[in-house]
Amino acid sequence: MDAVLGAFSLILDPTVMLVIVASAVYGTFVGAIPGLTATMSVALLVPVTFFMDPVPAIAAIVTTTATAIFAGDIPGALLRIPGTPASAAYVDEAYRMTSKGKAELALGAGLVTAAIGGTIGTLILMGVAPRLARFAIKFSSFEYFWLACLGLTCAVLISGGPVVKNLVSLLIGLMIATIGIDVAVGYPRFTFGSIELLDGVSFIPAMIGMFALSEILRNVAGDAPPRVVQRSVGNVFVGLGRLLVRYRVNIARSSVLGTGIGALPGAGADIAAWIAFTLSKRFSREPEKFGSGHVEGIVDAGSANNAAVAGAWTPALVFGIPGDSVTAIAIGILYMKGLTPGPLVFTQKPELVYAVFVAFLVANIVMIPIGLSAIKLSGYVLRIPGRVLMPIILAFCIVGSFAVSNTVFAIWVMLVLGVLAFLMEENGFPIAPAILGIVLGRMVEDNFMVSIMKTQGELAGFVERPIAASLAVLTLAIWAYLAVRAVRDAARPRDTNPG
Amino acid sequence: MKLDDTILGAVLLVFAALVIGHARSFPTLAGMTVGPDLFPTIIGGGLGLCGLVLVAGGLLRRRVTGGGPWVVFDRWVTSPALAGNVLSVLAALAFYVVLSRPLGFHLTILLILGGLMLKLGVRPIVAAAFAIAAPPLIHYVFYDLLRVPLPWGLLLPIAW
Repeated sequence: MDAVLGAFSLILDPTVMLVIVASAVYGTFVGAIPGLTATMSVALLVPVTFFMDPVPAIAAIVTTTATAIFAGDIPGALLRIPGTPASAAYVDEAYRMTSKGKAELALGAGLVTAAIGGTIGTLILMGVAPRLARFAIKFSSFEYFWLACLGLTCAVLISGGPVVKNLVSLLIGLMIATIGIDVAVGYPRFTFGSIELLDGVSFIPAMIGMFALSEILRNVAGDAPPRVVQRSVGNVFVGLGRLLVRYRVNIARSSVLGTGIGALPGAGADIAAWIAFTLSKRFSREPEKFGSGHVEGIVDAGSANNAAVAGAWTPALVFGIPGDSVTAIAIGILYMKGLTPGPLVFTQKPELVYAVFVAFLVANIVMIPIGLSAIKLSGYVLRIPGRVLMPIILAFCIVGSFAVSNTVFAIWVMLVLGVLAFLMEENGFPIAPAILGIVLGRMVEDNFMVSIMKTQGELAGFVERPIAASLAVLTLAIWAYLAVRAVRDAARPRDTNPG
Repeated sequence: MKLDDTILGAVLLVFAALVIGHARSFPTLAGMTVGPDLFPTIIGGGLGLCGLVLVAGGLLRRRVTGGGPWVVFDRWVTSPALAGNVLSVLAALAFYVVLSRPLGFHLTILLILGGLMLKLGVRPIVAAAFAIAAPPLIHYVFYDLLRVPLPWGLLLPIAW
């Protein structure tokens, strides 16, 4: 209980509240701009959090993601361009509502279900994470090795593309993680004489490159989409109460579903939204209305994607295994602050864990007034052309990469990885597995090396403990399934739906 | 630029061979069964395997569908304007790496913002406004608030 009160006093501190409000405004702004993703907003925020204490840093990340995911609905409804991939599932439905003159209801439903979904996700996180942590405290390097393997496996299982391409992306991330001094004997691997690479590829420039620079490249490489911004938006709360009562089961179901999907490594808000939307249609009493501007799917997907944001923190806090690319970045930040996420944090720094929970709750409350203002101001925000924004974002990428190590070498790292990510996505390789590979690569190798030294080279020792053995069986079972799917993919003609 | 899976697979095969070849040169400790070469070798092996699958799948598909282009060039490759956009973003980064120290942060970013916005088709007056206003703001946040030692360069005599 002390920890909960401690967490409240940590979050309700004026400076932290200021950080939260500023992050909410920032997250809403970035999320509302088509082409800028929630992950990109966090990647650009990292250099700033680098200079903050852990609690405001985490609060900033949590708030930015939660608000950005909601704000992605705004251009979705008004322009038919999803602001973030998490809104893509229901952008057609929302836009159809707008063309029927029901933009208010679409946006209001998006905003309120986002806040409710986010809150339910947080409550589940609060209930589940400490229990899991108590269980995980018994884990040794064997279990962590298998957990990390399982996390990497899930990334391959869930990411959009064909299995082989997901796997290649993961392996590229793992390959990047091997650069630098190795853990076993201290030999510099793949550094080619560069002193800067001895410590490995620096995490922040890598994130900024893969998420922000690649996004800029994609933007300037395409023809700008025509933007016709619709007239001002009226009162979004009209008819909303009835809607929430009517679809209360949908909201509860999709929030729980979203939390669960978010907790799987490699699957985030966007996949949660797609699945929730599909299920919404399947379970709906009036499925024929879907596709004609029906609000039910928006309610489902809107609550699921924000619940997923909270769900992703479960494996991140308990095991140090990210649930999506945002928590991958958050884990990187925690490491930089000398905090190793894992069950020990729950006993050693419980106030920090609860601070994450409280930050989520506060973020979901703050989101409503700020989201409301964003909806009102959307006409102006959406009129800012990409050709003005992209160069400015590039300037922030430069400073952000430079800020951590104060060397221009980091800008080269960002450039190389940004181009790599751009070309990978062009050719159907998803980026999320690569990010998980970069973050988890060291963890897998460290735990493997420690474990193999304990067993003195005997691989059998990896499956002697019951939990390790179960995790191993689960991991291998998924690989077997993946192998089957890969063969099926190969036999199928090219270019099926990558969603 | 979309490459056929066959080409992508071949590239991966070459890369995997290079990784494994290089990893063989890593030292090992006496008495240890595993060393720094283990993970790179496994990863290289995995990439090679994926490369093979892509090549095989690509060839199989070509046989079924009767060919198709090896490389599909998107508009950003074929259109000089769009290709120029991509290159100018990359050039801007290289420009910063090389010139930020001698010129200083303000001037480098001013030139990058101004140049890029003009290239992307922003009206000169708007481009100039952003190029002049943004550097001092970014500088204030990162240099004064976050204490990042951004270089002054030519402006050192009048540093504030």
